[in-house]
Amino acid sequence: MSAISNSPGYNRLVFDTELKSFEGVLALLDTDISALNQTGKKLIAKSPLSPPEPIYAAGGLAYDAYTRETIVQSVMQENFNLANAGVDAGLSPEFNPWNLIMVGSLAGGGSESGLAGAAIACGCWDDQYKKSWQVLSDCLDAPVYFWEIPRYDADSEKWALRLIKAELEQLFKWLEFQTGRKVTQQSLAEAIRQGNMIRRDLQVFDELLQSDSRLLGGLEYYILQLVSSDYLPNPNELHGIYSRLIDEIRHKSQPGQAVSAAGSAKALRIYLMGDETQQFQLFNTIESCGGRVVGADFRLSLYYEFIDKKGSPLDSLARWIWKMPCNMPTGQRIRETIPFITRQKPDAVIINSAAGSRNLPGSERMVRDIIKEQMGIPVLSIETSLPQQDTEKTEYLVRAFIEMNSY
Amino acid sequence: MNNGNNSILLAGLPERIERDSARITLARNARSKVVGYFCPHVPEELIMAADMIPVRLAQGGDIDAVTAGEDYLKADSCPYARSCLGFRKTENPIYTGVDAVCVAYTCDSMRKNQEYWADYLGIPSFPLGITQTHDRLRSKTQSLEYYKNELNLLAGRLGTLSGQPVTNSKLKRAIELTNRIRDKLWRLFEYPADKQTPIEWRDVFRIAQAGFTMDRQEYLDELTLLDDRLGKIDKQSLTPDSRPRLMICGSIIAQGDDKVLDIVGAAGGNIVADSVCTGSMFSRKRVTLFGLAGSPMDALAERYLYNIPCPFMTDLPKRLSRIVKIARDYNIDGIIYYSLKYCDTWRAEFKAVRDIAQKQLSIPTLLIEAEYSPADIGTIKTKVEAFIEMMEGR
Repeated sequence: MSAISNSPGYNRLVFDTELKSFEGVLALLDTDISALNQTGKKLIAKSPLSPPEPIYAAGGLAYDAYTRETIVQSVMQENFNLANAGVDAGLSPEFNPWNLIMVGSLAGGGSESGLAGAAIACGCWDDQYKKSWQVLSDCLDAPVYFWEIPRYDADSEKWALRLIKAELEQLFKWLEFQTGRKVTQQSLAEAIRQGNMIRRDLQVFDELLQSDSRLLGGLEYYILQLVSSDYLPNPNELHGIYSRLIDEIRHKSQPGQAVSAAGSAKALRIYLMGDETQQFQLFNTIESCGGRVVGADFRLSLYYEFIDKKGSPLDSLARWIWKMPCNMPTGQRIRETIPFITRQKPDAVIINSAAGSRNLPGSERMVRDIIKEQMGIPVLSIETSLPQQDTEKTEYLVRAFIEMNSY
Repeated sequence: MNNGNNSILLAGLPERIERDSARITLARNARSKVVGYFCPHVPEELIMAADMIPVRLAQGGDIDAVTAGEDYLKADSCPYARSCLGFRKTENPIYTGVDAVCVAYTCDSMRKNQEYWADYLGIPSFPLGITQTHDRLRSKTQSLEYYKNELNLLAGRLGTLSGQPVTNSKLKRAIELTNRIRDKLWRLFEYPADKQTPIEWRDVFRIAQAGFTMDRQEYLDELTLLDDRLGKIDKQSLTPDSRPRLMICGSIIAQGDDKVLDIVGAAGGNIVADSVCTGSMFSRKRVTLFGLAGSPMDALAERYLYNIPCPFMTDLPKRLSRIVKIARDYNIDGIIYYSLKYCDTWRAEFKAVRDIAQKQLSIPTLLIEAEYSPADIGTIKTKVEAFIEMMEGR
């Protein structure tokens, strides 16, 4: 297999080896940028929670540097010194480790960027991310373009949609300049169609987790979510990889087929919320303590619903962006998310904060209160940082939480 | 040096600041509503035009308020943001005296503030959308249109709260009064550009902060009086100040957050200019109404969106050019870059400011990261003293 499978981080993790098709997903973690560049398509960096459709509509390839650089460099290769390189580039040491590693990796030579540019959405979700790209714009030999997504307020809808559309139209022009290909109604409609295929796949993974049996491990599910944000290597191939995995899981779940022994039917069903964690072993810990991950909202904003295929693609995309849950004030975001959580039939929720992150942790109390009040299930808050940092405390908390709520 | 004039010029000012909380209580008793705001992207003119009293909630430096704020925001949020919630819990009369707050969607921490005020602190909390991509060439048209509509929405909400709709004529009157305040304040901030100044920046800064809670007409009268007195002083008779001339820029310096200013003063530094949102920024740009038919809302949008951009906005070149211009205008020897701990937006721009100050002005920049607790006083003192000594030796 790939360099990833020989990495120290990989070897610390326990994967479901019976799930053969998952190897295709793991290979996605090892995306070779130079190979992507050889496709002749321009590689454009994007924010984790912005839709990749505009980039594909312009004939480019989207690249979620935040997720990919961090998984490869920090989680798998354990190059934690890149966080210092992020500080040297200009970030505060108090930034969350995702931004530190991304900036350290791209600015500090940890990774050949090979980027043709970066189209960074400025939404309401993370100041640090915006500042990281501001710092990177000085270090990279590639243009960085910021575009606006105003925060959701139902009373502002009329003019906010006009703003998003104007921003998208200008973004298309910038992308055209980078890729040499014009965004047309047809190319945008096609990108939306392909994106909706990925959305459907991600919805299916959630449906599989609704089962009483453990059809898909927490770690595998988490990685599936993480690699979805840029559709690499391209939407069709990613859909193919997801489809093969879905077929294998469905086949295994048919009567008469042996379902993985790991995780009993009585496992405490846990829904994860908040920031993504670099401590991938958290998912192994949950399962080894008698829990089972039944869903997560980390990337829910990317597939919360399909982008409408009817009417003008620009209008549909703008409207879909406007209502992304991550774009809403916390109270509304959680209330909109609760139906998705409820479908996964969780017994408990764990909220993760990435150390140094200010956005989601800032609303943690509100999330906790709303979940407890509206769903009546226990909530545990944890904080995680770099992969090997303070893991004992998290393990202890998770174990105690699962034990306490398993009766 | 200002030759001891300040004690006379500023006579009674601290007492008048103290009086503000009582004024707010009186106003409430008289059934006038008081509306608080945090970031200077909320036009106080709108609150005035809705016949309510605007107060800027920009107090800080109080460790109890910071701790109280941790009931909502985590300890690794900036201390100002925590205080904004904490002061309500510790029953600071200005924070408990407000009937509503307006919160601009600026940085992450302020957006959370809006949510907690709305859902936990029991009074209306009006959000104000504001764009982050601050690019005059590319996005100005749609950004202005969006922001103007947000201002209209806010005006409607404020009018509903007070029962007094915001009209163009009331808005124009409020703009006129506020512009006069800006003009007077700007004149005060210009004095320290001269080495022979009858008033120091530190005092002008205190006066600017006092204005956050003072009655607007009363404040204008005070500024006018002070301006008249200062105008009568013969500057040539003053001794030129030979201390190193410093500029302070960075995170908000809230009312009561005097730690770093005190340390710089005690170490022999002379702050003469600033680029902070509680300092000269408010008075820098007037709201320009174009003719009698000019739309006041257009004018407000233009002024409040395109004053000096706070670093939650993307226009770093504009911020840098502003800092360079101030440094040149005030003949600065060094920059104190004040970053509140966990203030991500300012902290991430330190390197850019340091580099441009070195490259274009050949002056040094000192990064000070501070909390509101006294625990870091020793460290800050050592850094500041070494910095000022270095400048004295240049």
